[in-house]
Amino acid sequence: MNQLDITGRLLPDTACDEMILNNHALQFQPAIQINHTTIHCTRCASDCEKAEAQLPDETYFCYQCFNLGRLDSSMKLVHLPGINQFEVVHPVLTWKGRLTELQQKCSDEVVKAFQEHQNKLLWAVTGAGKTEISFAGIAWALAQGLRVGIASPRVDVCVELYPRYQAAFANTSMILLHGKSEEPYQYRQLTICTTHQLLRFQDAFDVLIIDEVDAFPYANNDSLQMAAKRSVKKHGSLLLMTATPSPKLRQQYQVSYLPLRFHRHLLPKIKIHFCFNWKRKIYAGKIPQKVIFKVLQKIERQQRFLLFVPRIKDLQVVDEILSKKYHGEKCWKTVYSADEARMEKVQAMRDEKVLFLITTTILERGVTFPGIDVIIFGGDERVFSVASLVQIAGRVGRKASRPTGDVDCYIGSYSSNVAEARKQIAEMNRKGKALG
Amino acid sequence: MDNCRWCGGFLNSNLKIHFILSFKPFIPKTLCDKCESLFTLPSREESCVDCGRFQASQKRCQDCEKWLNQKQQLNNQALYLYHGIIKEYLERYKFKGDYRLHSLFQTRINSLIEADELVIPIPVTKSTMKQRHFNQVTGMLGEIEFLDCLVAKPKAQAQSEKGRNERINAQQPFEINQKLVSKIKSQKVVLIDDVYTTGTTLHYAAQLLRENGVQSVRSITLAR
Repeated sequence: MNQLDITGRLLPDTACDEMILNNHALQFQPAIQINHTTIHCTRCASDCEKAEAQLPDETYFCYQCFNLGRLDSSMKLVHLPGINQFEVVHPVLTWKGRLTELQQKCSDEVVKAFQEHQNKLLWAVTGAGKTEISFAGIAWALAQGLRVGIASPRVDVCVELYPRYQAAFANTSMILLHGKSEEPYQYRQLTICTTHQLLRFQDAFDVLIIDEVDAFPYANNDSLQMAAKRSVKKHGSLLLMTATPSPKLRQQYQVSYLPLRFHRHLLPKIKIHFCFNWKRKIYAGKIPQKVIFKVLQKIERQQRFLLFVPRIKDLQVVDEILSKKYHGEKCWKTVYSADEARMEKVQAMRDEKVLFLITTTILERGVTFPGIDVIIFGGDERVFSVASLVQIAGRVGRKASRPTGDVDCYIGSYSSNVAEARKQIAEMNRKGKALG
Repeated sequence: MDNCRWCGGFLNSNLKIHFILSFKPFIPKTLCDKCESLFTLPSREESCVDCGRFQASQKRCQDCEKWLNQKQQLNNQALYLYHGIIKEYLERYKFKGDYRLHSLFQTRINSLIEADELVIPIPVTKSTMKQRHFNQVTGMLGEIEFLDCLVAKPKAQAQSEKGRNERINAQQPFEINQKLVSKIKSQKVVLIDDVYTTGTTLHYAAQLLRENGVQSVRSITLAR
């Protein structure tokens, strides 16, 4: 372990070597502040009930962030203000693609924001090429020898982004950090990580990009939002990217707006189909005929697709019924958040080893399967928020060779979420049409 | 409103009017119904008569035969198999240190202890204590009364990091607290530990207690 391993980080003193701790530049702060009835964790900024957080020897631990390694009140957090010590190898940007005119405009705005140390929100529809738009800005920062972080709330998104950035910045040292990776932390110029990992950073990045800012668990999580702000240096800039920003985000940040996909085709519309009693049916272990028919039809045509269901327990019901109804070889898998084989199953879909996946909202964003359709079963359920529905519809038609596709949504009632999502898509298409 | 200690989900106490009118004491739930069902005790027809290992026949298992050859026998009862959910539980409770999970099995362990028995938990070393801030075994006992009369000698390597052979050939890892020796004389003792892997720990502890004049020793572990 050397000095570079703790620069820009916020680590418990028990994880550091004696040698390092003698450094005078280090800043120490208590890991846990003990208040009257609660304790306050310095790392995740959450308050825990004293009674629950107590250990038998009168020390307290934070039960909100213990998955990152338990902090207790006997520990101190060590921090060394961020140093940039990187060798810049030219050319920084090894990406050979070209941006469209509209993308170029957004890209220029991003570079300008980075140069002027400003925060920005990049609001571009699904499939607009947000990652590519960010390249120029990152290349500028890397060429200046600045430290860059790219974070996303979703592991899947990070895993998918890593090879893309690796290809685009082949001469830059980078690392991928998330809870499931075995690789230990290393000091690198470009860090790609989940937003949870940002809790371990302080004053680290000159430029931090958060992809899919409106996704769970980052949205509405004060602790993660605090961590994101804390991990950026005082004069650094923060770039948020999403296709579905909340009105609050749109107000808080300067917006770069791109309402048209890179292939200049419009977003697919959500087609609604009514099944008035789908909820009652699924409780009884059945699903509506219409849905079964649709699925069988797509299997017959060998059309690849994703089938979204509202809850994890619905996965099994749908899986069993389809097994009964379809007599051929099983050509699908079910995926949910706590699934141990989640990564492998998604990879199998990517490799076209399975025809479709039955999944919950975890695959709503950040993943690209070329040429797929989407079926949403129970779209009026509350878990399908407006942003989820727009994102799910955005999985379709992401390839220039097949820019359209079907989004079929089966609902019991025309809920405000479905209506709002359809309205948003129509609105963006109207603006897109005006541009293209 | 509380959250489930295991999955963090919403915890519905389901207070019914007839319960309120019954004036029975209200014991708050710690797990939601779904997680409660994850921790149901496995049905066991066949297991080793001595150590409680789950196996195909109701005989002594290989390890226990070895112990018997060394003229040592110890009857152990294990609640669960060291597998799946229990492995996950111990990982989270013991190694990650989520002390909120400490008393999940208190009532189950309590039901296995006889009224006239003296409960002695397996101790942890000072260095473990310093790092973990609790003894996972006494934590598991919760409000059950126990006598902490064993002291763990400091060791170079944690038990769970050693290989199987290293463990079996280890030296006596415990000492007895001399001040409490008088309290254990001719008592029926039940040792408590979290995991029974090779049985070395428990056999050494039992041997030490026998040398100090207890009437009988048996043991209970959370997992085997």
